Amino acid sequence: MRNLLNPRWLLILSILPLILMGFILYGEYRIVRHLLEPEDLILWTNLWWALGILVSFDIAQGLFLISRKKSLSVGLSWLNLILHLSFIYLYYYFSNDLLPFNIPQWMVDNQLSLFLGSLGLPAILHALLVLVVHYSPKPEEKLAGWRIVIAVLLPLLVFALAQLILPIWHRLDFLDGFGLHLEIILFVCTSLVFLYLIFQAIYIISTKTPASWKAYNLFWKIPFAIIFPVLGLLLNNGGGSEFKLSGSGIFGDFSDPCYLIIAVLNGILLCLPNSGNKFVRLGFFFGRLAGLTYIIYFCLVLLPYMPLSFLAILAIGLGFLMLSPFVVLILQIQAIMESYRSIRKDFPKRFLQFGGSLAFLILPIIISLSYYQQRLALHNALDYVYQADLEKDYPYRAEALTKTLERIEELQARPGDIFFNQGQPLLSSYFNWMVLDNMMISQTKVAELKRVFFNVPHSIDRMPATAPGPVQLDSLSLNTVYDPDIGAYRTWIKLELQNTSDLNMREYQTRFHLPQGAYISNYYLMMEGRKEFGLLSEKKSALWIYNNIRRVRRDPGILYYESGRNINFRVFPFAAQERRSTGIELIHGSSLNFTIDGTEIAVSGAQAAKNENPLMEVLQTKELEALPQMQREAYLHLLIDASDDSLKTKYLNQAREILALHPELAEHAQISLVDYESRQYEASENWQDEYLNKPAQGGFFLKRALQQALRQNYLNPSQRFPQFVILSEDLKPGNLDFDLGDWQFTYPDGEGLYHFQGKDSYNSYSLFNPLSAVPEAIKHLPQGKSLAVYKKDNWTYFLNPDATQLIYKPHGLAGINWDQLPKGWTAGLEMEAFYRDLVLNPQRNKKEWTQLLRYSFSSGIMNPYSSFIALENEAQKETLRQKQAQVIAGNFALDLEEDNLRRMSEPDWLWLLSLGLGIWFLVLRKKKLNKPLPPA
Amino acid sequence: MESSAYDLKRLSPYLFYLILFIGLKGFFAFADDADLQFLSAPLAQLLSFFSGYAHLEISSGVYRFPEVEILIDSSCSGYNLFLIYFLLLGWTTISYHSNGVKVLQGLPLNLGVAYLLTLFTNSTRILSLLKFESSIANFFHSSQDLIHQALGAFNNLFFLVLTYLIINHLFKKKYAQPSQS
Repeated sequence: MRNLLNPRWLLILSILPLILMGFILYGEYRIVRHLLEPEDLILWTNLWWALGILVSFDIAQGLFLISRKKSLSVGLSWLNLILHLSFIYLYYYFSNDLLPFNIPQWMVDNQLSLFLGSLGLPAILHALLVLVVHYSPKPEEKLAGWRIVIAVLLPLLVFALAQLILPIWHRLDFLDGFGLHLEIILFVCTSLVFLYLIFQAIYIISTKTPASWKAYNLFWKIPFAIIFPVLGLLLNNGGGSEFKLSGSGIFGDFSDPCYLIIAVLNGILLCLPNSGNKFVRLGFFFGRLAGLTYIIYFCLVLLPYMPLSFLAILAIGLGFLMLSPFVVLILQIQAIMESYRSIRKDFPKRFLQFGGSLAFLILPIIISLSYYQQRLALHNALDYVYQADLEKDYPYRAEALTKTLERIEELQARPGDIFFNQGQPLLSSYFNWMVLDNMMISQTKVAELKRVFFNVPHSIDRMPATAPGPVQLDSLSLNTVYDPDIGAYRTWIKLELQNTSDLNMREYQTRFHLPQGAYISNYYLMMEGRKEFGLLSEKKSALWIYNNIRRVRRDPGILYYESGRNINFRVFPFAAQERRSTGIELIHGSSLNFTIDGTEIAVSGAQAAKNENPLMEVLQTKELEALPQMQREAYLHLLIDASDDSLKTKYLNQAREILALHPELAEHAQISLVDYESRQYEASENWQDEYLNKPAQGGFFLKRALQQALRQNYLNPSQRFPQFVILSEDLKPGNLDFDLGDWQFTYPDGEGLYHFQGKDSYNSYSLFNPLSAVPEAIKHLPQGKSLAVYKKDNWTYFLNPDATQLIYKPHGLAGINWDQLPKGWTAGLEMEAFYRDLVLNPQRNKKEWTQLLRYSFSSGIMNPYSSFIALENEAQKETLRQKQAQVIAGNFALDLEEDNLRRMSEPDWLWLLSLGLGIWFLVLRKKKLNKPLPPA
Repeated sequence: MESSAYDLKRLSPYLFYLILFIGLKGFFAFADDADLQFLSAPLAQLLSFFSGYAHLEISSGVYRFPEVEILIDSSCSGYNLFLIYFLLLGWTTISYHSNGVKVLQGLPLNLGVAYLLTLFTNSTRILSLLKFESSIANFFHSSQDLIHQALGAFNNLFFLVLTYLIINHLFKKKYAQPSQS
């Protein structure tokens, strides 16, 4: 322990944590500085000075002592203790001014105070330990027992004093101002005395060498090394009884049996006497080193709560259990040193160093490998469901995913709070970073993964429509100009929105369909008389910011693509009868015709823009009408549910029935056998044996089967088109919970997806968004639409002649130079071509979505990955930028928030219990205070 | 022997309510959203009525309020609160009525009153959360989840204590009168 006097410890325990603290504080400061008042800014400046002086002082004393080869003195330790304590105390005292109440809580890290406490404590504890060493020059001659007795009695003494003195103190109105400071300082000082006595006792015990100590060392080793850690774990987890909270404990979730097993094994290894066999001693050395990381982990977890151990002793002696990892740490280091000394002559030094390092890292390595495996399982599953290669076969690997999803569900069941920690401290953060890229995965996505891989039905249903709110579009005006610079029109649509109710805090929300060839290039929202233009930003980050701001009732407005060309437009908040103005700028090549919130928008574009884009061609209605028209011949594409082995014979008979019913559609019929994957056959092939003999894997993943069929239909244009018929007994909403709006360009022949009901009866769903409307019962399958046929460059396009069409050549993106991209309207067309390419090849989305996002930023035009958001202040914009950087660095399929929906769940019963006990305590205390004081 | 038989007789109504409570709590473990519709459906109606926010039923027993992006389902139905109210009312009644027949007669009334009180308390909880949650979370710099739990627990406890005090007061008044006269 005398080693602690080495000034190099200052670097690890004081300087590095302080520098880290500086970085964390600066990160917060960068976000909130725009919202701070001048006096708060002065406080921040003072904080930087204080931190700078403290770091400089530590560096200076460290360098001085190292250069003079001196150890830490008593005076310096006292100075360090006082300076570090004062800094932490003053930080907490002024924390409400540094981060005032007007700063939204979502901008500030929830764990900030805990982090700073953890970073400030090592220096304080180090100074305390140095004082212990200095004031115990001959520890072997001192007695540890009475120090422990005083340490135990100290909390009881304080409790008694608090009961006797504090009521009088409070009666004298001494609590305000100075009195409060005095109470806190007294608490801090008593905690320090308590910890000092405990450290001194441990120091004395650890240096005792009499034979009696060695002979009876198991008497004190077994309690500290085995009983206390096990008891601590059981108590934290609720004693393994009914009282246990699922997935949480006082300091974290340590309910995994591995924690107990390692604690017991490590304890046994500590207690076992050294063997005569050198290989057994080597095993002890490696084993004890492996356990060291486990003990260090618990020391780190409990470090911020260490000052509270003093209070915790009052409550069933928990405080001593909280201190046990620190005691075990000392015992562990001693045992490792002892083992090392006993084997260093028997084995080469290099071998011991290498093996020892490996043993020390074995637990972190196992955890990292396990997390890495879970990351692979999750990301592969997400890729398969959301951005898979539609031509590739993927092996069915569900086992690894089970564990990952269980872990994620545990973490997301209820976020931790200050009373009951959810998850495993530090390890959960590591898991979040390693597996989830510091983001999350929404419940809807977890449910979808479980449905696809384990055939678990969805419990979350997607809401197809939004209920109309009281805020409505009151009037709309247009201003169109032809911009020769971009070779297209610019149209500003100015919207006047009105809250027609007497209710406050209402939101305006509408969805509109943007016509082909039109793109959103600007947006503004009037905020307190000023025109705030929208920032073009990444969509998920923008939605996250919007929802957070909306929850604290400030002023955002947002525009983004939902699917296909559907735009979601939202403005918040509206006071009772409030009227607000907002505007959207569109760029378009020719005339425009569409509706926003029931109001028709018509702009004539006499001067049609010249389209020189090699990737995308625009055909106006007139041009389409002039093309030859034809109705394609339909053929059946049966999507047969293969996820339930017991129903396969039934579906097989249904397939035979429907093929017999429609011989004209059956000639070129296709069969897709759909479970977790989709296997496609010609109806004339022998698919029946394969269907009946191959056991089901996962759930009925209809979306992938449809995507594959639509892709094929588009890339192999012919005179025929598929008519999709589903054969499945129990078509749950989860099976139909997908939105293929982006795929509309691949299937111009209709919008029907038919669920076979027997005897040529069907339920007709929308192919592109099946849950958007109630299915319609129909008899007989309908014919296809009449289409315009356009031939160019050896490619035939079948186009819907009713509206302007964009012609996308699905082979033109190879070798694109992302640095030389066009601007203006052509950029809009080009981005749409890129996007269609990604729709057809979802596997490329993972890497190329950021390219398309950057293209959106550089061209100033919104695309499906970006969003226009109008924000109120610089702090919000700074948060948006940081969030955006985080999203761009992560996996596209991960989320930032929980689908926007909050459950208004009942409070946990522990909350009721805590509050109930709190009230009971206050009532008792009040009764006691109201008792007349005994006469003097 | 006589005294223990007397104790058992005296305790049996309490045990009866406790067993009912445990049984009903056990049902909750297996209940889905549709099973708890008897609580969540009127709750959604009440919330719409008092707040002015429209709601949509997205599946049996699951209601969505799109304007405020909240979801009411079995977890928010207030079933646990309903059971606590039921037990509270039951035990308070028993402390004044030891007659077994009367205890049984009071059962439907207790269930009805517990049901109404649950609807009232739970709607108050959610309305106050909608109104104050974000501003309180902002004020105290704490997470919304923490405030959600604390505010919900405070609201529920407040009404539970209030109910107990009122019922106790009413019973005391009722049973004190004959002895005074």
